[in-house]
Amino acid sequence: MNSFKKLKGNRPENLALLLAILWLLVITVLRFTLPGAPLKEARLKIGFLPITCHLLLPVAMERLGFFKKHVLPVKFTSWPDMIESVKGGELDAALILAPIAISMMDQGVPVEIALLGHRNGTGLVVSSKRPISQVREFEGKTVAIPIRYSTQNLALLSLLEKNHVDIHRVKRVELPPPDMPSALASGAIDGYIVGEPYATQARLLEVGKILRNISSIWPGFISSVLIIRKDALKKNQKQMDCLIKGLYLQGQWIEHNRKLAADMGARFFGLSKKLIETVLLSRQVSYKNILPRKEEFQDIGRKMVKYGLLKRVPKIGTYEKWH
Amino acid sequence: MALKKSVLFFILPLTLLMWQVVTTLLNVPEFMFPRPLSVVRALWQMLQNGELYTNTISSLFRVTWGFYIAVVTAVPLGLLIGRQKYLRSVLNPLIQFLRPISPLAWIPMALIWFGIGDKPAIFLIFLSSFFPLVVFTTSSVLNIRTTYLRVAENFGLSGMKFYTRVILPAALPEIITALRITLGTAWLVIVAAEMIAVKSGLGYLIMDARNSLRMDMVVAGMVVIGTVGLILDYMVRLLERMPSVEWSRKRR
Repeated sequence: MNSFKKLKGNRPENLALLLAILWLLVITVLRFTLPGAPLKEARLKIGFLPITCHLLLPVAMERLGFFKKHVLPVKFTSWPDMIESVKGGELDAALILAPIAISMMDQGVPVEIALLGHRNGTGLVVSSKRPISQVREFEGKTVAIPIRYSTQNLALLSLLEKNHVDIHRVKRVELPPPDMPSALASGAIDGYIVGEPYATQARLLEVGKILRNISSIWPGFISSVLIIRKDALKKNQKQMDCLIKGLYLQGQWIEHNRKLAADMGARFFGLSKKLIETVLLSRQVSYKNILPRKEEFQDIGRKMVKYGLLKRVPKIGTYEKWH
Repeated sequence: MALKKSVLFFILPLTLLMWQVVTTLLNVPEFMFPRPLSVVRALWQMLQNGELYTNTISSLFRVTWGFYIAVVTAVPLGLLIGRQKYLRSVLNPLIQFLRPISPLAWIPMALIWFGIGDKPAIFLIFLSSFFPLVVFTTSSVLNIRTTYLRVAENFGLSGMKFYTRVILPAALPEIITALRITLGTAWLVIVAAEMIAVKSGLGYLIMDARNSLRMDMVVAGMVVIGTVGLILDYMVRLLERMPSVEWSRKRR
């Protein structure tokens, strides 16, 4: 205490104030000299989540000079945050779940669908401890979904209905995908339906097994789509076209270079290489046929209306002029 | 002093040892609860690749700005509200209403208004500190002994001088305590604030580690947050030792 007084003379308040201001300056300078500090140049901002449905982006970032120079990928950890960033106009484009895109169109957010992320690549996982072997056994159980506005949720509901299970007797909870395997291991949930790699992960951790692959429930299943904001398109159509085209072409490349693509994705997403490789080499995901077709989205829209997620199917906007 | 030493040399190592032994004996899988050794390894890894430095600086930057903005706005406002009865009757209900709303409830709005990056996080930190600070400052002004106010009146002090010579010094001890509490809250909120769209910070570090299924890094992040929180608290505690603050404690 005494040393403190000596240090500061008889006006420690002044010194405290000085130190406080000095700290503000120091921390601000440090912040802006950090490697990877905010970029000045204008880039197309595109939102994504670390899932295989968004693999086109890391592959494009690795392979194309245009992406390295003009595209800024923004990693999200949850869908709601990404939704708000698209609505607020912070992002120019985003890889986002198809039902979210449709409901945005319903709300009048100026977005259009330009591409699909991939097809299939979703699994219905059940606990390996108390395994459910038939869909009928889901009655009275708890199943996790990524978010209400997901095709995974719609697929689960139609699967239950097809098997004559009362959907009100199955408890559906929304969980972030990375939490699903541990929730399954702890017994908090009895199963979950999610996009890869979080279905395969349960299998690798030996906490769950895949009861059904999505292709057996909903052939040609669409999970995420690339949406673009119309105002960003108007401002910078040339670059936006390059972005879409670049992503589209990576789909074909991934089909022939699955192992390499898995490596790129694992590094970019910060996920284990083994996990992504297992998913990609199992051929449960397909990057072919990723041009958007209005009928498919109208079909998703009708399912959303059926399960009370939408009042009516809005006009689906797709952007096709880039090719 | 004796207590501090016993914590450092006895309780801390014992906790770590128990943690390691129990997790090993029960064979808890790493993805449920990592072992201390893997946490240390993760810490070392983050120290070497610079992630620890970058993310700590980013978090401290946001907390500093959010907290400072709150202090320079909330303290003067609180002093005013404490003195002006009509201002109190107008603003108090509003502040009392907004205060119990968790800053996290503002996340959706923060994202739409401020986009992604530093700004929404700073805004959330600001909210977490602003309302409590106003309330604490107001009440500390109301707690000032009437003797002081009467003496000031007798000396004919008024206007700015009245605030800087009487009100602020008299309320300062309680304001400093309030600063300590709110800084603690601000540091609590930064983790949640950084779990939304930012690409750096200790909250992001935890979120990112969780998405990459690295529980050891999650716990390592928690260790760093706890340590920085302790240091921040210690710094503000030093302020309580200033003579202009300490007088109130001595008086009691």
